[in-house]
Amino acid sequence: MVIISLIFMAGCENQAIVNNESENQTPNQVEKSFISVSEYNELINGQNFKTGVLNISRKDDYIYLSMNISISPELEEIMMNTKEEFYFNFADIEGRDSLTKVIAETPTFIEGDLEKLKDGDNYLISQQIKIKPDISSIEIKEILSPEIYELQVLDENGQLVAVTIGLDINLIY
Amino acid sequence: LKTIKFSALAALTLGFSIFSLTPTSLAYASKGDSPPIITHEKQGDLDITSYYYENPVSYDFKIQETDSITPFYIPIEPEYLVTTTSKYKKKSWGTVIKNDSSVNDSVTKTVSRTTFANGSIGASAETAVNWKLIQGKVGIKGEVSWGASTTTSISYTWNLPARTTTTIATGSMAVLTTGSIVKYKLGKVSSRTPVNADYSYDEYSDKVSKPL
Repeated sequence: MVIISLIFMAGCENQAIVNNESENQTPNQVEKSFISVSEYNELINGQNFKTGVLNISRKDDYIYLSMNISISPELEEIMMNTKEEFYFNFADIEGRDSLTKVIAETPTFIEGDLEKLKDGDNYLISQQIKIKPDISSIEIKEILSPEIYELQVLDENGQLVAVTIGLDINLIY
Repeated sequence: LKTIKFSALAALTLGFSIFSLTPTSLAYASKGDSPPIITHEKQGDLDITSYYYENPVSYDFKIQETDSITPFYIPIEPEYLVTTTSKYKKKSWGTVIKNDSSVNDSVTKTVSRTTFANGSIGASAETAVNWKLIQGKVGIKGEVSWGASTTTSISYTWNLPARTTTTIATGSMAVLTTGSIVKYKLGKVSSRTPVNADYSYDEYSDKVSKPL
């Protein structure tokens, strides 16, 4: 009997916590709370997510990529309230291999921590990539060209959810 | 042939309209393929013509070099002897966008791409082993397990320069290979099973902008 009562009380306590959480949430918060970036990839579009021109420099066996992105306040709030992590990554445009064939080490994804990436009104994302030491001058010229790259947004499992192509074209005015 | 389906979520949510198409300048539909569905629309300064193929178009075939030297030793394990292997692109839509304004613009589309691996690679009990042999010999790993077909949804945004016409196509990079799975017993060929495999290994996106 004692055991049954304890189980019953424990159940009531858990229920109370759930109810309190529900009461504290406004309908808006519920709507804008997502577990994974993959649940709203259609919102990562040209209206909400704009890119500047990709800057690329090279020093020794590394290339350094950096670019401004502008995120609308609506998408910004959604991304900041996404439970699981998400990532940004620069890569070859799909189906091409100018970068892939000269990479020496798989680069680390850029964590989608928007507070850390904030840079004035926009966000600054940057990534360094180690390249092979013996690549040709033609290959170097290729990987220093922003038009060969795409910006990827990846979910918590590293799965591709959104892509921006045309990083040689400024869309931030 | 697998069909790539398109999602209208992004367009409906944020005011973009869905366009699903394929320009004849990009695609080479083989005889017997159903004609593309063509749509035309205007979004601000953007003039968009889209082409959607119900049956994805296979094109840009390139023969893949494969090591065909016969080993001087007698293999013990079964192996895949390649007859031909080709890499190709499989596209179900494309679009031509004219940006007749003095500012850069962009267009977004949510695309569901189908990954696939199918064909005929021997008795069902042997498919797992044979699938590994084929991928190992071809040197290109498939995206899904044998016989599987999955669909992933990706939001694509293309930035468009001012005063240009941009042609875009996306789809799957795929491999088509034919050959034989050969088994050996006591130094001699004991069986030879003709096989063929058609599988996707990556996605692609082609974009070309030309001044107006």
